Amino acid sequence: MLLSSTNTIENKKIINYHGLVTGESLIGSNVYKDLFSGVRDVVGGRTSAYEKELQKAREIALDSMEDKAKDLNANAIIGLKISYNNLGGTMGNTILVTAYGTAISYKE
Amino acid sequence: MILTEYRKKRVKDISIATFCIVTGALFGIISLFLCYLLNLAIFGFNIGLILSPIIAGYVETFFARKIYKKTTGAVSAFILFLVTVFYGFIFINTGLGFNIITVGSAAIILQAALPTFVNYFLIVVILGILSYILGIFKKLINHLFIPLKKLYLKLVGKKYVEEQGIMDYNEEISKIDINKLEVSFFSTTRPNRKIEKVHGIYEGKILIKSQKKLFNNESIEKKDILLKNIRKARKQALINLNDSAKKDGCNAILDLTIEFDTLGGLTEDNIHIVAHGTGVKLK
Repeated sequence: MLLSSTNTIENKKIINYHGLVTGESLIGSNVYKDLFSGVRDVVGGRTSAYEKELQKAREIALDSMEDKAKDLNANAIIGLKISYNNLGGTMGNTILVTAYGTAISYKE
Repeated sequence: MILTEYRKKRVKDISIATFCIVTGALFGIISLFLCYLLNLAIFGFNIGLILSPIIAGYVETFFARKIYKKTTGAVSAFILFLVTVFYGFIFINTGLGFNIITVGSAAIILQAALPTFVNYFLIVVILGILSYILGIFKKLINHLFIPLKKLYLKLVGKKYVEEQGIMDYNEEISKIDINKLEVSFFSTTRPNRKIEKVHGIYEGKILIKSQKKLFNNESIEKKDILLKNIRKARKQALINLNDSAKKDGCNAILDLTIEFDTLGGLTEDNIHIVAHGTGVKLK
């Protein structure tokens, strides 16, 4: 599945527009882990636990979007947008990762 | 050649600095010895404990400025500090036992001598161990909570009902396919057909109130409820966008953007979902 944030695919002809496809995932918070990563931020360490979680959440969101596109017989997603939103407000860290784009079929 | 000279200079610098530190420390130790010999004590407290680190630091700095032309950081004062603590508080204090006061005092002395190291140890290591242990404990509680609740409800003869979010949506919404609405959604700016007319910006939004405990919760069930609510709400926002664009005769929305925000901050927990884009009429 070809993913692109652009409007078209260079040198390829779009033959069909299947519509909007979306994918999303959530990262729950662990206040203790957060506290620890906060401390590590202060002392200059990399909070790899968060990095890994975010990476995982992004992959889940993209995979679920791709699955929906495959169900529509699409072979690419264009106009792809990925966003990260903190839903926990000031207190927490529930991060929502959303991905959406337009499912299309293209010809070589 | 240059490197050798640099090394030579460096060795010379280190030797001078070491000399200054050792001299300072020696003067400090001698002053401490004299203080004990002459019993210079005020209310039983030997002033050498305070005076000798100061003398050591002063002598070291004096020599360093004269020979080294720089300061060496009064390392000997720190050495003397350790010596006086060890000698004055531990070595000659035979009545000192291993109890909470001794350990506490030792910790405070160490904290005073090595503030960065001790603070790092206290914050990172101890907090890290605690957080790890408590994290496991929290996971265990989360894991046991639902089975225990089910067991309790079974014992009191009640039925277990799975918790749902407060949002009350018409289940019919879940059956609607957003790609089969009257208006087509494109996240791109170029559609597959020719644009007949551009109608302008259209917006579809929804404010959902979700359970506070759904946020910041590790449990997979709670996450699923929140995610389901978000999916439903996003669909509702798109349906609202579809309705407002349809009214003006649009049949497509280009450059669709969906935004999620939390409103309310500390006291409330509203999720605001906005879907907006350019409404057009396609041929």
